[in-house]
Amino acid sequence: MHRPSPRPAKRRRSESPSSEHVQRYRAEAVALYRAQKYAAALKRFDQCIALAPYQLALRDQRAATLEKLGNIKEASREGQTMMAMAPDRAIGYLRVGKCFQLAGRLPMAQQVYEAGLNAVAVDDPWRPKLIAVATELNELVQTTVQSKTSSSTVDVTQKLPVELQLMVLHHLPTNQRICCMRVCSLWHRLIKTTPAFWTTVDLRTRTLTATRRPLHSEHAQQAIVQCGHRLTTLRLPKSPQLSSGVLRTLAKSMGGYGSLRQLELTPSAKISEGSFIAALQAVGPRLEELILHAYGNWARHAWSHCPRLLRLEAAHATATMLLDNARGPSLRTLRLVDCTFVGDQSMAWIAGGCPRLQSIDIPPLSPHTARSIASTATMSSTLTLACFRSIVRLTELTHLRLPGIHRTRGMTTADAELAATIDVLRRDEPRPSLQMLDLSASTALSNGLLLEMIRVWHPTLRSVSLNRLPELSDTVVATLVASCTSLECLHLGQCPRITDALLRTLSTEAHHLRELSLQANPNITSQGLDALLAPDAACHHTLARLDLSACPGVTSGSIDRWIETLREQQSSSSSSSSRSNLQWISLYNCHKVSRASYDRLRSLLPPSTVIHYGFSDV
Amino acid sequence: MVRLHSSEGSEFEVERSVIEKSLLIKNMLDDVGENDAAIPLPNVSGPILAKVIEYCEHHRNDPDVDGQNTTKPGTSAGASSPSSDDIDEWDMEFCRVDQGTLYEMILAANYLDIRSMLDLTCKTVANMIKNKSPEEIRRTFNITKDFTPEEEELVRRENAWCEDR
Repeated sequence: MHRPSPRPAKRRRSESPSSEHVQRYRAEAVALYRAQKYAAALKRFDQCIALAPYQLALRDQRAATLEKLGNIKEASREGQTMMAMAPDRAIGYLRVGKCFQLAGRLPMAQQVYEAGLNAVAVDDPWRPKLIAVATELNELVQTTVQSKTSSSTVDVTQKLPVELQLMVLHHLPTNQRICCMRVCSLWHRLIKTTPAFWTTVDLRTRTLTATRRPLHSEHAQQAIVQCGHRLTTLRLPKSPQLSSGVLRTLAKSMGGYGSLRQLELTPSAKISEGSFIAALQAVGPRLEELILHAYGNWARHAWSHCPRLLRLEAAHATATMLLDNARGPSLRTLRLVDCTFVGDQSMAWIAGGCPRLQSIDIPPLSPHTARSIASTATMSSTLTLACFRSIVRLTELTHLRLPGIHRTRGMTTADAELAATIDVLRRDEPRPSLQMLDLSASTALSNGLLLEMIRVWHPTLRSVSLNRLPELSDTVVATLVASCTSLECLHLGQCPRITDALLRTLSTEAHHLRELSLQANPNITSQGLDALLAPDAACHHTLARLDLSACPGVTSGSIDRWIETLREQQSSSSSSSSRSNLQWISLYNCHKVSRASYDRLRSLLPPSTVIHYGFSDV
Repeated sequence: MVRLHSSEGSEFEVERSVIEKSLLIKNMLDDVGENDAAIPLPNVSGPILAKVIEYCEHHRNDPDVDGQNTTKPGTSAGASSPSSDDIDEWDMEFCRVDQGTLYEMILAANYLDIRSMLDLTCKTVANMIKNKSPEEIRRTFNITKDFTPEEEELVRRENAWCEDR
C-alpha cells in the first residue's frame, strides 16, 4: 500500500498573494496530521483547497485524512475528483482504488487500477506503485477465489444478503446469537447493531451448558451492561453466586430511560433487599411482570414502584405481609406459591387494591413446605366463606384457585356465614365469569353452597377442581355437568361420596369432557367405568385424560371389558371420528388390575398413549 | 394452470391455487388477470423451482399464518426467542439438502415471498448453528475468521457471560 502521509510541498513560484497562506496552512495541516489530530488537520486542508483548488497533492492529503477519520465515502469522492482533474496521473486512481479496497469492494478496486494502468503516463512517479498495488490485488483475489471454490461448502456470509442472514440469526436464542458474534466481524457488527437482538437476557437455560456451573454475578452484570437500555426481559437462574451487584448494575444501566418489562429471579442470602428496592426504583415504572422464586415478601415493594404491573408471581411469601396495602391498578395475574397465612383479610386487600385481576392462583402449600412449618393448619390458610364477599367484587376474574376454605369455630357463626355468602352470590350485580375454579380441600363447602355457585357461574365454567371434599355428593356434580355445557376438565380426587351413579350421568351428559380425575375414590367400581368407557358414552370421543389411580374398585374385569370394546372398534374399522381419543390414563396403585390386563391394554392402545401402571412400596 | 419459466428456461406447470402461496406470483396473477403467458423467474433455477413447487403442493391446505410466526420485537408474547424446534418431519426431510441448495432455497423463498418457507429454511440454518462453538460454526459454514488475535480476545471477553466454561 502506498503511504498516505503527505509529501513535502514542492517549491512553486508564487503566482498569487495567497500562495504564502497556502504554504503556511499546509505545513500546519501536515503537522496536525502527523500528531494524529485528523479532524483539525482536515479543517486546515479544507482551507488550503479553498485557496488552491487545483493542487492534486493537497487533495490527496485531504483524502488520506478522511480515510483516517473513517469517512471512506468522502475520501473516495475526493479521489474521483483527482481522477477527473488529472486523468493521466496515477495518484487519483491509487486513492480511489484504496477506498474500494477498504470498503471490501475488490472487483471495483481492480477495475479502477486497470483503468489507471491504461491511462497514466509512462513517466508518472507513482506509476510503479500503481503497478505493484494492482498486481498484489489481482493475486489476492485469485487466491480467495481458489480457496472458495476448492471447499465443498459455501460461505453463508458471502452467499446470503445481510437481511437474510439477520433472519437466520433471529431464529437463534439470545445466548447462542451472542456466541455468533465471535464468528466473524460481519456478524459481530450485525448482531451488535440490531436492537431487537438485545431485548431478552434469559440466563435460566444457557444453551452451551457443558458443565452447568452456576451463573456468576460478574457474567450476569456483563450481560446487563451490554444490552443496556435495550433490555426488555431479564430472567436469571437460581444461582448461589449471584449477589447484590447484579441488581445494582441493573439499576444503574436502566436508570431513567430503561424499558425493562419482565424481571425474573431467585433471590438468595447473597442478594440484599436494598439492592432489590434500588432495581425496582429504576425499572419499576415500566415493569409488567415480576417473578420471584424465593423471598416472596420482597414483592410488596412492587405496590409502590410498579404501577403498570400485569403479572406478579412470588414464592414463599407471607400473605399478611405481602398483601397488606396491595395496590396493583392494572394487575391481571397473581400467583402465590407456598404462601402462608392466607386469610379473608388477604382476599379483601387483593380485591380492594387490584380491581382488574383475571387470575388468582394460590395453590395449597407443597408437602415439603408444609412439613417444614410446624402448625400447618393455621399457617397455610385461614380462609373462610367470608372471602367470597371480597372475591365477587373482582368482576374480571376468570381463574380462581384457593388453598382451601375452612369453617370458623362454632357452628352458629358458620351457618350465618353460609347464609351471608349465598346471599352475596344471589345478588344481581356484575359478577366474575369464572372459567377455572379450584376449591379443593375446602371443608367449609357444603353441597348447598356449591349448588349456588354452580347456578351463578355455570355458563362459563370450563374447568372445575373439587378434590378432597368429603361431603361432595353425586347430585351436586350431576347438576354441575348438566348445567355447565362447556365443561372440559373435572377433578374429583378423594371425594368418598362420589359413586358409579355419577359416572353413568357423565356417560350421558358430559359432551365436551376432556379430563377426568377420580383418583382414590373408594366407591367407583367396574360398573360405573363400563358406562363411562362404553363406545356410546357422550364423552367417548373427547376424553383424553383419565386418572383412576388408587381406586380400589377398578378391576381387571372392567379393563378387560374395555379392551373388548376397543378390539371391536378396531376390527369393524369404523371411521376415525368414532374412535376413542384417550392419550393418558393412570392405573397407578389400582391393586385389582392385573399385570396381564395392563399388558393387553398396552398392546391395544397406540404407542403414543401414556399408561401409568405400577404400585408404590407402601 | 400457471406456467413458470426458470432461469435456464425450463418450463413448469402448476395449479394456480398451489403457487399462490407465493405472494409475488399471486400479485402478478392478480395484476395480469386471465392470461396464459408463462411467468419468467430469472432469479430461480430449475431444481430450486422444483423444490419450491414441492413445498407449495405439500402445504397447499395450510391456513394462512400471516404474521403468526413472525415475532415482532418488543411484543411480550413470546418471552423467549422464536423457537426453531417445532419443525415437523416432512419439513425436516424437505430441508435435508446440501448447504448451497439450502441457501438457494432461502433466496428463492425470499424472492417469491413465501413467508412460511422462508421461515422454515432460515430455521434450518439456525439449527445448524445451534450448540456449536464459534470455531465449529466457522468450519460448518466455511466462514473466514477475520479477527486479529487481539480483536478476538476483546470480543471473547465482552461476551464471556453467555458461555459456560
